Amino acid sequence: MDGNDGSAGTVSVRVNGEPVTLAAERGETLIESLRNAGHYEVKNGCDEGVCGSCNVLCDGELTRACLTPASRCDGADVTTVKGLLDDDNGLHALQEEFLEHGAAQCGFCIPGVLVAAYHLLQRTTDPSDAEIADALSGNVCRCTGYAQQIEAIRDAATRLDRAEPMEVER
Amino acid sequence: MTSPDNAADAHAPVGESVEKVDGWGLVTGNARYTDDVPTENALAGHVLRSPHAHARIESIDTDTAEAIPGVRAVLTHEDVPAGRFTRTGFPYPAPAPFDERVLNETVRFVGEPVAAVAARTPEAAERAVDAIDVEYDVRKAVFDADAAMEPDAPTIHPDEYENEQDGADPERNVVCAARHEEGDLEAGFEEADAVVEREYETQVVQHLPLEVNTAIAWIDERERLTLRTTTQVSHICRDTIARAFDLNRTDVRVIKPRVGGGFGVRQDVLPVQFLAAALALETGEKVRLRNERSEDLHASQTRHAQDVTVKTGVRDDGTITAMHVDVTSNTGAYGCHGFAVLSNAAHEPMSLYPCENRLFTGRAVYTNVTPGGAMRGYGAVQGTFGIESHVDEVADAIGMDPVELRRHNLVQAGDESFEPEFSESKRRLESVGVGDCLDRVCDAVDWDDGPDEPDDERYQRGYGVALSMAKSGVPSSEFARAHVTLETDGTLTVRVGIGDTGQGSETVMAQIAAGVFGLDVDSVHVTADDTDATPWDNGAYASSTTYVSGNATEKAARDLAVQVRDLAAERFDVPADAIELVEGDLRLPSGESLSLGQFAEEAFIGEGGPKRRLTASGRHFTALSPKPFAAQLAVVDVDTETGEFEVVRLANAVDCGTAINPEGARGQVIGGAVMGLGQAVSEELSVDAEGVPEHRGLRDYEVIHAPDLPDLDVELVETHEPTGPFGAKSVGEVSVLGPAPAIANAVRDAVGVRIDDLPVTPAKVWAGMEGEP
Repeated sequence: MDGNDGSAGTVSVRVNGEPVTLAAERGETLIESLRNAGHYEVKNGCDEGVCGSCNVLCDGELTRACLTPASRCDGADVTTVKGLLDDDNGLHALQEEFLEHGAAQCGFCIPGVLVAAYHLLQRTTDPSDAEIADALSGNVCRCTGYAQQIEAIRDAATRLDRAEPMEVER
Repeated sequence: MTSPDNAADAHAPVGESVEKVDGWGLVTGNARYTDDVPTENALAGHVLRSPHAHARIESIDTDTAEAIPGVRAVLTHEDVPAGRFTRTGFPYPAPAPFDERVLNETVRFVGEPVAAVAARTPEAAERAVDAIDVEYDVRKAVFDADAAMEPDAPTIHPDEYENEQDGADPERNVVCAARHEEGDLEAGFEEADAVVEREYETQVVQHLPLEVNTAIAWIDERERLTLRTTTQVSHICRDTIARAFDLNRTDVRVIKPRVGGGFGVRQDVLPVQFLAAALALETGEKVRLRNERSEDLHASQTRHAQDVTVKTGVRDDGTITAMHVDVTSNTGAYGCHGFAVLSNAAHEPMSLYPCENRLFTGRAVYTNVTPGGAMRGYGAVQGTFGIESHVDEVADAIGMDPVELRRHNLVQAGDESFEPEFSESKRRLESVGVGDCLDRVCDAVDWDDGPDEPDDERYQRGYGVALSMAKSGVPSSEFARAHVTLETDGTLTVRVGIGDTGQGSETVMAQIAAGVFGLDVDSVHVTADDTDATPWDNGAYASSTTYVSGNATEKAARDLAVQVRDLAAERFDVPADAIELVEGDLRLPSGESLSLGQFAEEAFIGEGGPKRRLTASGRHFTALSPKPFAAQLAVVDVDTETGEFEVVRLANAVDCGTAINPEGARGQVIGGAVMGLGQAVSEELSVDAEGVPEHRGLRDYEVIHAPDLPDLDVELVETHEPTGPFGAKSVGEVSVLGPAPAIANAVRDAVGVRIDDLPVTPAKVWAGMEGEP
């Protein structure tokens, strides 16, 4: 079936590298289609594109999955927070630093925060604290007050910057 | 409880910043919250909400709705139990009027549930809600607490209800009234060289946990009602649901998976929980009911708006001779936490300055707005804003530095806290680090030198300080029990019914149990997510978990350690107290050692004696509630040409006793401070003249974002609380209290303008600079 007409059927995407066919027959948003396919790591915190919990990358672009029709994503490469794990399910430096810094409290916002941080580190290897804070400006975290998240992202960036350059481009 | 002779064995991992025991799931997206399970076969729940602030439902026609294909149930007030209760999440009966039903015949705020639908698809459920025909008799509504007490105001709860609180006058919408005097107030004012009086107002804000309130309810294979839901009080939720539907406690089960924040809103049993339960009982099927964010913002409990009037008498030497704090608290449509929040509002902040003559008076008042509830700080945010703002005004009246005035009157170890008269708390304070906290934040900015002015003279810089005190549980109310088992591989299983909504309490319990045995945290598994698997615990509120549940966990672990030592003493014929538990090993006086796992396995096999399963239990119930303290200092730059201002720095020093997990405690301090910053400068929920919320959703609700952060300093000023687990007190709430008055005081210091109603906004600062009232 063709998902490109935006009205019915299914869409073919790759989620974290795996080819997946998502149901989109009822005009689902991307978050609905992903969660119906078992991708519960994509969180819905506000239903209105404000909190950033549903952040994913679509072909490398930071995307609000709750505002994006699934039908518009046919053929896209979608990255969720699980896409940060390496092939052996090892943690990404960002995930390790979030644990180290106590940057996840309830954790509900974290998939979206980590995707936003990952997106930042794709673009710059040595962000300032202000650049990190700006990168999180579309995320609401009600538990941490952001400070430990900013510290964690800064330390992850430092680690990745010292490591193989390819690590960042992955 | 740690006695002095075993306090010395408070060893790692207590005091270490270990990673959260649930951390891997949180950072990988593998953590499962309420809605993160397949529900394709569940019925979709949907709620019809009142468009009116006050109306009696004359008739309600559900025939058309019920005829829509796929609709399985439409429930109205006619279909739910007639008995009234309170949603308030304290153990029964709770200090709150029994003034509500699952669905009420009279609706009392815009957004109150009128009917609930369960249908095969969300679309059918929405269509059914639209098809319900309600005829309302719209009544006069009132939104302001003072107006609600006027003779011409509508009576919001005219029918008699049970569990009326002291001082109630339902006809005048008064839920309760409080009066607590010590000494002789008038004599205290007569002694004073100056008497200063002012009123302060706080606004309505909401908790905004990132996961919206959600419930999935079903009838299990033993015909029991089961809820998987966003709660911070699983056992109280189970009890309250059972009472509301007249079920055996054992016929209700509550599963609390990962929960995306709470901050108090989930201390209450939520409308989505009652409604999902009602729909599951009606249909016999699984029902999923999830609020949208806008519903959560409009209709879930809020922080009470309060008017706080403070009158203080002071001598020229800075001695406070008398203080009267009067609080009017707007509790909204239902009484919920009206009484306890009102009482807390004054008692905690007044405790900081133990003057001989003091009086608290107050009342909580029904109005036609969303009910106030429990929210981090629990009244003390409002009272601390009033009192800590006022202390600066008092200092100004006698020409004294506000920090010096505070030091002159400050509570010390050995003083008594100002406890409510009904409180069974022992009043003597053992560990009081607030003076040190004040010194630390002042040293951080060289307070005595005053602020350097910004380079551009258009800007004025000010310093403001505020002190605060919170608690460690509700005395003589919190009850916790913990079971700890030594598994045959040397690990520990801890079963405890705490309500971790992200604050890290499962990690703290693991650290405490591990600390007793000299294990690492990875060797402890904490189960806290199911009322079927855990003993009673009041859950997460009143900053109780580390202190109360932590003490229960420590007692259980110590009892288990005694069992292990006794059994080993018998087996190896050595004195029990000569056996050490270190790094997962039993060390004998001979220098030999064997692993705990080997020991437990041999005990279970029955080597050298009867078969043993090594397990122990601990419980904690106490009349004590040790107080954590904080000092917070704001540095604010004000633009004298516009009134715009920036909080450039917020320094926080907190006395939480022993920090069992310092990085976790730091996270609590920062998280609370930033929530307090939002209360101070941006957050506000308001209604229009008809009581309709003026914000459409999260996009209109101004929370703090990462780029808004000031520089944040955090210092943990450790004291040792002799009654706490390894010396700990609580840390969850104390840092939310100070930012608002510290910022208001800094604005006053910068440009001489006192903002006495929250939030502090540029428009108000500008009006103040222009001399407008």
